[in-house]
Amino acid sequence: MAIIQVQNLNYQYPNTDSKAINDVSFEIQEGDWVAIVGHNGSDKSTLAKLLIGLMSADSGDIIIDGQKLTSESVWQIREKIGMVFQNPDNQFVGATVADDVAFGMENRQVDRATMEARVDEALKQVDMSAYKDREPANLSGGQKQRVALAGVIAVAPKILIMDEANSMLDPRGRQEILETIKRLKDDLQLTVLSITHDIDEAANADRILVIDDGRFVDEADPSGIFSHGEQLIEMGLDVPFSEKLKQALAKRNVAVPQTYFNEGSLVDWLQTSRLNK
Amino acid sequence: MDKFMFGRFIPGNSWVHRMDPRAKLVLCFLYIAVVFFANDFWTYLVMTLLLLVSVFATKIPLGVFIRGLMPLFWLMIFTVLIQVFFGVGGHVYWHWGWLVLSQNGINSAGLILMRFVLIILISTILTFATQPLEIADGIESLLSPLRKLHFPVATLALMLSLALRFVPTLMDEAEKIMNAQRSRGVDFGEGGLRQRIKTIVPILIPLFVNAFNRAIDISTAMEARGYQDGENRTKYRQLKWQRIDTISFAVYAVCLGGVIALRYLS
Repeated sequence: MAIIQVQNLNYQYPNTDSKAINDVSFEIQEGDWVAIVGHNGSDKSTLAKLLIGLMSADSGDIIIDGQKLTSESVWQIREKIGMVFQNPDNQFVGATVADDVAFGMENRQVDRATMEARVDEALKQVDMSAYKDREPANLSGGQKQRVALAGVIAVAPKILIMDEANSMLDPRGRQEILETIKRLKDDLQLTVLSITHDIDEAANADRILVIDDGRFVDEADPSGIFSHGEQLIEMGLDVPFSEKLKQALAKRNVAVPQTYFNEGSLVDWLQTSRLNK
Repeated sequence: MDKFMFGRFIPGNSWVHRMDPRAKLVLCFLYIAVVFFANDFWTYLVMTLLLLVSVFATKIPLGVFIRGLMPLFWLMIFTVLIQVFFGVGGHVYWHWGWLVLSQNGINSAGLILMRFVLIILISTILTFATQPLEIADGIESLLSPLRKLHFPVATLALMLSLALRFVPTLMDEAEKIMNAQRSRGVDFGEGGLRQRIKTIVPILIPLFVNAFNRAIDISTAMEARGYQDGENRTKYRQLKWQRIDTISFAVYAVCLGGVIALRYLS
């Protein structure tokens, strides 16, 4: 059962002469992790805003969890979607960590006793319990993003959309967020849609959709996408380390297999090939 | 910025810190109102004692409060001088042309100075011992009767708490922009008045533009998290009226009532 269905979506910003989203159709199955990648300016974020009805498409349909997105159903649909945005500072609404986690619940008119329990639970899930009463000014970017995640968990959505949520973090912060999301996805049976150009984030996905100039140009699982090698850079993605190593070996006339290896399987292959010499 | 103590919050766990912000706000207003009733030695003595008890109850050393008065030092000197030399009536001690040093002048200068110090200190107690956020909550709660007049209390409260939440963030940003502009050769605090005003522009404009972008991002994030309007929401933060608030109220009521009685009975 497809939880997100998008059919022939078109969107054009006022006063521009090309479409930002050009006849886009795709489906996301429940429980999948899908990454949408593309270079800067390929209007990835526009897609995210269209999905939660912050902007309305010129034509086309968005069906989320069996419900069509219209101006009437927009609030019900937002109940099902949690979103983490790019800038850690600009999505921290509450005055303290606990307030921020509670913000979404306050909007859904959850009573206070339930809020207390859920705030604690959500903060525990993202390992931020010790920071409950801290103010945003003394948290790191990665910690703020984890609080944003806790705010999403607290309202228990079915879908998590990450709109370049890792792009302003340091490598360690990125790693922490990714691991947290992996764990949460399994615990809460989330469908994850991450819009990104971070290679590690894309590598975690079940499927990768490549968007370019408002069109979907490619769709495959990570190994299929990463075996493109050089073309990845044009797509706006970095090349995974294992691919870089393969290229470097190929330059030095070592015969490497064409299929994509992640780091683990590349190590296995290297060891066996060394033993074969 | 470090020297500027006025309006800062000093964390602690004293009697005053634990009080309900609504109680603190109301008592602070009442105190300021009653300061204007005090007019002789005895009434001022009661007011001063009440203030000292309140200061003691914050567990913050008196020296810190005095330092909070320092930025206003020149303003106090100025008002006192004006009062002293322009007060007329009573016994004249000394005069030179139109400058007159008279008994009334000295009396009213003393009164004004006392009022000044008392009002500033009582507001300092409020800000030192109450988190800005709590003050915002208190104001919202005190304004809630205005809902009947269709005044958007919840919206105002949200604006207030968002504003407070972004003060440190914008401070950091201003600092960053200043340093970035310095590294490009902008000289702050140099030259005459016109020159100085000109150097403010390269800080203000980026700060404004960033604030706009920030506002767009925040409103997007808020909508995505289900914020529709200020009215139909539950509240995570709740204020609790405790026994210490009632006791404080009683103490203030006795003292302030005493001051007003002294004024009209004597």
